[in-house]
Amino acid sequence: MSDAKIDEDLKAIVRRALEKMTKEHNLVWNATGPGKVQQILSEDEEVIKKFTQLMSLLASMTSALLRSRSDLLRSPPLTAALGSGTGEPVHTQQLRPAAHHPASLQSVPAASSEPNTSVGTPSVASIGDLLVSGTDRVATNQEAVECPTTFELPEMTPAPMLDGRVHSHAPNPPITDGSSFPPSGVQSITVPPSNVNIPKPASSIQQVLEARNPGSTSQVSPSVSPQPRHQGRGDGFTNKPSLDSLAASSSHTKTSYQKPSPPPSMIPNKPIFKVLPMQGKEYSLPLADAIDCTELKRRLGGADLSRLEIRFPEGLGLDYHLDSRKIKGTPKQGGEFEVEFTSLDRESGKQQRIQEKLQVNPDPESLWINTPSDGFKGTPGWKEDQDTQKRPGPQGTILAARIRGKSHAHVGSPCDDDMFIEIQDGWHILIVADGAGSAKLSRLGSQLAVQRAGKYLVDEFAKSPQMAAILQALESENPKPETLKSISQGSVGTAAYKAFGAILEAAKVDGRNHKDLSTTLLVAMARQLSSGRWFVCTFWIGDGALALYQKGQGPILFGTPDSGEYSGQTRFLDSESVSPAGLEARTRFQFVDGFDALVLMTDGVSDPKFETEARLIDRSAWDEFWTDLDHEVAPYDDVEAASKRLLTYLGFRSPGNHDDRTIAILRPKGVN
Amino acid sequence: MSQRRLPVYLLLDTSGSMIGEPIEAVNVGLQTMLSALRTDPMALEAAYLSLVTFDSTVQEILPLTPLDEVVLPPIECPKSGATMLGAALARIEEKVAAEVRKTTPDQKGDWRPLLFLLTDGKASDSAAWQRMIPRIKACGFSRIVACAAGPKADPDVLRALTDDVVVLATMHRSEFTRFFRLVSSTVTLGSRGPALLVGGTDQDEPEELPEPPEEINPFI
Repeated sequence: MSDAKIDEDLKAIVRRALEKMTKEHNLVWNATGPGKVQQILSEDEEVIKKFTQLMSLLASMTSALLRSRSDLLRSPPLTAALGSGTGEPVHTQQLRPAAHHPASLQSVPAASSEPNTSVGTPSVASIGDLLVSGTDRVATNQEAVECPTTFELPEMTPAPMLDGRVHSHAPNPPITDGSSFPPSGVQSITVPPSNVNIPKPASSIQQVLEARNPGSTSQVSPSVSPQPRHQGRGDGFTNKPSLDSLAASSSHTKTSYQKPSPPPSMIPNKPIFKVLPMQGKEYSLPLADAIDCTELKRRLGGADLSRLEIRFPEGLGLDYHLDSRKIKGTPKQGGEFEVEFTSLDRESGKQQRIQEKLQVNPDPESLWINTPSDGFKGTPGWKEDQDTQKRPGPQGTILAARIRGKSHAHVGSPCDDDMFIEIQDGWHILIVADGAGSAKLSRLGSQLAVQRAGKYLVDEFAKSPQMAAILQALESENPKPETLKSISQGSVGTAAYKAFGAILEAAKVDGRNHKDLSTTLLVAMARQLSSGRWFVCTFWIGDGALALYQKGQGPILFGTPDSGEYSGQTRFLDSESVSPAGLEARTRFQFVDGFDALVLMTDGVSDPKFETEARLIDRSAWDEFWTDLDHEVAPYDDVEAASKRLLTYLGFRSPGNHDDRTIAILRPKGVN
Repeated sequence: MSQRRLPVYLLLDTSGSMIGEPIEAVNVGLQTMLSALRTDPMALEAAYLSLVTFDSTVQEILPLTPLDEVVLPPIECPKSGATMLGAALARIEEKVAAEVRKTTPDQKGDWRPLLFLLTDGKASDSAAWQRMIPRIKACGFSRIVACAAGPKADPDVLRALTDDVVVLATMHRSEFTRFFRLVSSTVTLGSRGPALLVGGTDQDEPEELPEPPEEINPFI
């Protein structure tokens, strides 16, 4: 068989395929004349792409086939088919199923003119039909067979170059007047189902034909269970052939032969369960609310659901009650479970059964793990995962506790919060800081900030040579606001300034950026004066809360938390915040006759307990907060025990709130 | 009690070239991602997912839904579709504006949302795509992860939108799984992204100590 002849035959096949496509899909050709380049007009890149793919596929495949099966070409029926050009599929010749012969094609005997009595296969001529129409079944003169839906091709040399244009031997365009352009501009073109992929080359045509199911002629039984290949629910298809589908478009109606609709098994499976249960939560839903009954019916082959049985795994805790038609129970575990649906047809007594995966949401609380941060020991800023501190004093007691958040505990990273408390010469000092979650050394930032600020207040401010004058001013009857401001900015304000300095200093280490040490900072200092009233001054940057709580009265907030549009956004200690203007804005002071508690907390506590800024200034929100805390922590006289209870209190459950939690409280003596 | 939500937006290409093996791989990947997310306590407590597909039209397959309620139908591709990426981004912008809750004195805001985009080709509506790029960047996403799947996708085009570009060399299932694994790990720990520094000094300049506070003057 000469190459020329093969080429000719190839072109003939292509021509016939094109004729068929044109007829069925009303393709419009830009006919520039016989033997000239023709073009499909389409605005849609995808259409052109598909068409190109299709043509290449078709050409390569038939060419390969022809080259390998040159013996076939000699056979009269086939030549007749090729030469007929009538567009009618010729089914008289069948190829011997190559599946029997895993070796090369050569071992397949030459086609005979007898109809093949074993597995029907489409003739070469009608393979073109297959591809253009996308049918996955072809009526042969034997039973319907399932055909592979893409073809893996051997490497082709040379593959014909087709680029969306049809070169010569184009089919006669349907436009009878042979005009160059379609009458009214560009027309849109429908192409056959465009789910054609360019297949990978197979090592032989054998693989192609082997991929089919010889003899599998029946509809896929819907009662066959799905074959999930992966964890998770469903892979979309039951009994899916291993190759992609060239399923015909159901909207396509112009065929000259019957195209069956895809069998039920080819329709992608929708999930059956609409509402998923949760571990430990009671589930009680009528069947129609819990599951997609339409989908279930479909999967059970249309069986009616009046005699439905649902089998849940033993011990899961869920059951289907046929009498009430409800699924009820409280699942004991989360995870993926296999559930069996069985329908019983009343008349025929036949059972249909399918299995479906059910996802039971685990209780998130049960998923949290607590990994110590020992792996970080020795790294800059590492601190114990939790801490308590206490300072009992003649005028009041300070308690503080810090606990690592669940999100850090889950991955074994250290706490980013830090704290410092001290009573020095009548000055009660409370400092908390929250390192930025995203800043890689923020745990060092918070540590440096609280330590440096605390050190300044204890070692420098409290020992100031001006202390006598300062106290005199505070004790006077009507201290001037400017004086009080000066004292405040010179104490807690300067403490914050020093804290920032320490951060900048630490940032000078190679490879560090000061932003890596970003932290919030809340500093409070309180002194009881001889009159009994207290002087409190504060500095606050970031989120969290800093307030005086008084039962029966609204809280006194020492500023407003810095926040952004989104959760987790806040401001951190920086140059602006400790500049003269910054100190002006962020330093506050207050005289108060009596109070129940001076409270400092990071947002790990204020977010779950108050949620919004509005609630942070709300009296009842504070009453609620304090009642709850006091109930857990009181009495305060045994400070050791009280501080431990404060730590326990910090373990309160709050879904969605798993930040580090730090709280420091000054309880004045004599308060209830 | 209202809780801070982590809104996660998934934008998936269902154009013609995704038909067949690729979209199946996406479906499998999605289920795998869901399974993985369901084992993470933080995701179970806070993540809300929304899924939008785009081909010649943009469809919301899943409105913003808490993770424990998500039941995903298999994603399907229409028989032939273009890649209307610009229109898809416009839809995302609309949804974010309508759905993501901002912090107000009375309302706890959501965490900054996340956007994951998967495409295997180039935008058919490239003018719209170009126009949407700065607008999507202004939506407040803490991360935008774009996935260029297969040989026809152009990662450089996606880099105009985000630096976080994942390239899937082929359209094989394992590649898609890789992408969806990245999605679930991003959503879980460490997904909140950097806290925004609101106001304050210019972040790009090295910080210096400002003028020190004045000495206390108790005699004013």
